[in-house]
Amino acid sequence: MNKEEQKFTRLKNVIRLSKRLKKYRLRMVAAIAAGVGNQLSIVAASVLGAWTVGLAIDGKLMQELNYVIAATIAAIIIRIVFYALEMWICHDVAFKVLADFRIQLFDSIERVSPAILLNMRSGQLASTLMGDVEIMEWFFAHTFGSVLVAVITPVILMIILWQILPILDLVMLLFAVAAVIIPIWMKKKADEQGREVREALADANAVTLEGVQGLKEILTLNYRTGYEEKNRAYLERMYKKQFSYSKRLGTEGMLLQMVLGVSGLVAALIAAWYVGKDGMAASMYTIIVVLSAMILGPVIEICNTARNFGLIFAAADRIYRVLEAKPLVQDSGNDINTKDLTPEICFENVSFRYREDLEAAVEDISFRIQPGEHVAIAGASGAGKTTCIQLLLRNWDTEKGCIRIGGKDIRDISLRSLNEMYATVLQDVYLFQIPILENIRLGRSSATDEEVMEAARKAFAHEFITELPDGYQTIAGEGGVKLSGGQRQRIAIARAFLKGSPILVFDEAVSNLDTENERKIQESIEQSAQNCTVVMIAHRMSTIKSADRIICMDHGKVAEMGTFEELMKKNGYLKKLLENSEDMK
Amino acid sequence: MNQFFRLVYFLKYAKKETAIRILLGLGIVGAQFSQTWFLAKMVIAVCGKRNMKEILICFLAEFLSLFIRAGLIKYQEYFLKKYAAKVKNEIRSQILDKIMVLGPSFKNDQRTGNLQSLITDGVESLEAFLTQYIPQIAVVVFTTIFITTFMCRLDRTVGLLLLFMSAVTVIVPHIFMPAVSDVMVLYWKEYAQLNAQYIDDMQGMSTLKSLGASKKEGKRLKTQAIGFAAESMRNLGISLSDSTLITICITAGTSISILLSAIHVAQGKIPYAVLIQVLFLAGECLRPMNDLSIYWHNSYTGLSVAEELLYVLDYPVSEKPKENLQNTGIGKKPEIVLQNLSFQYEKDGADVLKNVDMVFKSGKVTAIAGKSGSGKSTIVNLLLGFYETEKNRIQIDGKTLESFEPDYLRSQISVVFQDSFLFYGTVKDNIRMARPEASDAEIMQAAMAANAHEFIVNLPNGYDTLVGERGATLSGGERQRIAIARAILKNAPILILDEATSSVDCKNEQEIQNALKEAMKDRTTLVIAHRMTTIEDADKIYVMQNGHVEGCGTHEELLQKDQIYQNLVRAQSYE
Repeated sequence: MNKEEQKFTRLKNVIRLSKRLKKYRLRMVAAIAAGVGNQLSIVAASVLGAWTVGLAIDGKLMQELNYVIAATIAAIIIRIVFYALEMWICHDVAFKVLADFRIQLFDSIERVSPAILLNMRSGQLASTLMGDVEIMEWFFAHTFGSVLVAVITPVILMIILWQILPILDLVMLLFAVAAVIIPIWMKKKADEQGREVREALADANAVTLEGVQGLKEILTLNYRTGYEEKNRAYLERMYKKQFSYSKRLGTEGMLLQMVLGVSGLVAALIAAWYVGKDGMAASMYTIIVVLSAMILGPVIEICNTARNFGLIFAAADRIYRVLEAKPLVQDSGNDINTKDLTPEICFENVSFRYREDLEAAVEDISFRIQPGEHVAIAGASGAGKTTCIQLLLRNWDTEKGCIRIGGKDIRDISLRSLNEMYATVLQDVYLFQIPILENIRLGRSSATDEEVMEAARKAFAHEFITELPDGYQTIAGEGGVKLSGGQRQRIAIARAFLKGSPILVFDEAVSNLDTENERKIQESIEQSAQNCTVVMIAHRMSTIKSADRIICMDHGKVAEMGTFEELMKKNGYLKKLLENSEDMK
Repeated sequence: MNQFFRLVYFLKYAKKETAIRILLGLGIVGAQFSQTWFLAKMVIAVCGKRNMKEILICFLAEFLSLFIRAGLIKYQEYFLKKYAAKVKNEIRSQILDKIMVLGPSFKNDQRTGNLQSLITDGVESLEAFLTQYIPQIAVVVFTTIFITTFMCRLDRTVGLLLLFMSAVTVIVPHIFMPAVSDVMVLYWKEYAQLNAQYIDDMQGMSTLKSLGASKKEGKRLKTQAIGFAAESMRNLGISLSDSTLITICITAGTSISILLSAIHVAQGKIPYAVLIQVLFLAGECLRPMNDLSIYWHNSYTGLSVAEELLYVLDYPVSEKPKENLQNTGIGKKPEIVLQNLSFQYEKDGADVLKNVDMVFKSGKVTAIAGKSGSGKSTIVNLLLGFYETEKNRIQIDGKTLESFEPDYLRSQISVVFQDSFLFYGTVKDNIRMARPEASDAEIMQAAMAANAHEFIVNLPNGYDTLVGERGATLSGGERQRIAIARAILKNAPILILDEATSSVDCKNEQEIQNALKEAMKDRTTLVIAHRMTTIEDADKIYVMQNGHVEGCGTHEELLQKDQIYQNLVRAQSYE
């Protein structure tokens, strides 16, 4: 990335982050006002101290004592009020903005999934969401307002100093410039290191997550030492990045402290020159020294924060990468009344590849599934069965050809309407950490408990659910761990039944069922889905046999189609496929 | 308070670093103090005799102090990271160790999101407390003694006032501690929950979308995120009230000291030169306290994690006498006996296994048939020592299961689970996990035997292809074949196939069956399957129902006499 571009990136980051504050403008103004008040009252208290000292030296303190005491108390109170106000308002805004971020991130992931899940490990994604968003707190609570405060406060103080000794303003300005230059000078390195640190952290976190998720494998493979080594290596890598990051941080901190210290020193030395001349009193000298030591305080503070800009903007970048990710399919179609659509599926010369450099996953396939027909798609792994389902669900768009439902190109149907057409049971059943009742109810949120149980009965899940410790209220543990594969699958099937869409799609849905449950569900599908169009990826004889028609796929093409009897008679691909299976009896 | 000290105990692993951190802190405070002191001296010189030489000496001394301080700050920044890394690494590995020891039974109690955020963000958040706050206490104690003595010599009242303020600044946070820690525990729990919720929803996003429930879930998360913001503010309210008190102490302490000294000068009790020193130094005296309070605030999140962290670390490990554990004793073809074995996953929970008696004969293939939920997989979990059972119920080669070192026990068993986890890394690494010293050729051999070689070489980078978390880029069957390759490579005397082929399609299943048959030779094998075809050839089949053994025999015998088995097979023959 060249310099010009990088500058732009950072500026763009500031602008797009600042935009989030629009909603909270009034509060932000209040926060900045409180911040300026806070900084000024710190200075005022110090100047007041110096003034008191001056009075004491000049022997005038006792006459003015009441005023001095009153002023001191006032300064303390004002300081406290502004301090508390600034903290409160800034954090209020920051936390609200963070909540906004979290909500929008979920929405974007929802919009672009599953595409984004293929490119990012979900542990990494979660660390983006939670960790990076937390880092944004730095920006909103400690940076944005502080920058303005750091500009306004020194300007006010310099105006005051100008009245006393103008030449010092010039000196201060010089040092202020030096202080601001330091982080800018180190910016490139900071950006790069910030990105590296976050990435290394995300990787390390993902590996740690594996330790928990893959615990069973680690233990049974006696991989513990190996895993621990891997984990340590990733942590080491992260720490290494952090070390170089903190080395730069240290250098910057050192330089900033030097600027601050030297500026105070130089000002004190110059002012010393003027003492006694031009009628400047010794007591005024004390005030000047105190004042000039404080002018750059806010600037240094903000530069100190700027040392972490690399980290902040790297986090912002990653958040925006998710927020601005493009979905794989455009939701450009219209909402339609799904009841008016005949559940007839038609693939017309469909071709598709997952990435341009890969072979076609399916090539020029065409078939038609009549409304109410139960069709099985058979074929070896990698034949393109799942791809067909993915395309039908419009998780991807076809490269060539089109898919129609009820004669309508699915790209002309809004994703929401399209979703209403399908009830799916996918290969990987995911159960959420909520009661089983709610897990099934996800299929149709308006369903009554009775309807949920009815669906569970149809899916032959009711019996085992009621035998669980808390029945339907049992929480399906992390990813549904405590349930067997078959049980999880039956819950997913119940979900699909409950949804009650005109097209039922099963992606190897019955693979985890034992034969008895499989047979029952097969019957149940035939009964409850009589009026539904059913598309089912199947590799078991029983599933294949029960279908009205079978589409056989081989290497991304349709090898043959027909009823079971026809295909058996034909002695073609299906026969060969089944001969390799012992299921055939 | 007890937790407090338990956490401090972790610094034991970095004693030297802690000492250096304290010295660095003292050095920085000292340099700062001397810098300000020389500034005061300079002001006195300027206001007084205006001796150029004195002014210049003060200037140079001040400059030197500044230079030393800046150097120390630079070094400290780097050193702190290193120090923190060492401490955090120690804590992290202790938790991971503990989770590994506790095994899946513990993991299933916890939401993975929770455990994960504990090991990563949770440990991270302890950094401020352990490497900043605790050493700073020592810094504060030393500097307070030194500085207040110094100030007392200048002006006794001011010295005592500053001592009092320092004490208040250090004590206030601890008075607030109970309230703060309550709020923080809640805060952390909500944070972890939100985190877990996000992970959950992200992993299940495809499901959510396909059910049309993602929008609704988004709304729920929205409520949670907003609730979390409110919680954060409530938490801030508490921490703000105590940081405000500290700010009062520091501001008032400085201002009142100066005022008092000024009055003393006016009264002629002390010379004005002392007053100028007080003006500059009073603020310096309280600076370490200010740092301390900042560190304390940064420690909040960490302290709120303490409870959960110590819960994991203190979680009781079975009271097995460690020294008697065996590292040998399982032969080439072990025999496994289950005797009157009963089991519940939770105390007072339903019996998952009831009085089970089984024998897995040496070198033979034993199968367990039964419907889902009949207790088949529980037996596997018990054999692997994932859960504790009553003593002496399981014996291998005549020795009770509990007498073996768990690592040794597991090294003698190869398992293929129904749902295999692949680690982030290459395909080759994933297979090699089973035997780290295996050569590439051996890995390929294992893959060939598992019928996985063909699809692996067709992957973009062959054996060096990266597989994502949960093996997202591979199909269930492919993942399974990699797991089988692992088991073949491991080459242990006991082989357990826990529904191993249920997600593999039929064409491949046959080939895998053949491979597995090869792997079963000369081993004691336990096959758990709901697909009858995979167990027909077993030497002995146990039929299970509702946690009971309902019958046993060979396929033919059971076909004739066992009704449950007949039902299972009849369901099958429907095919």
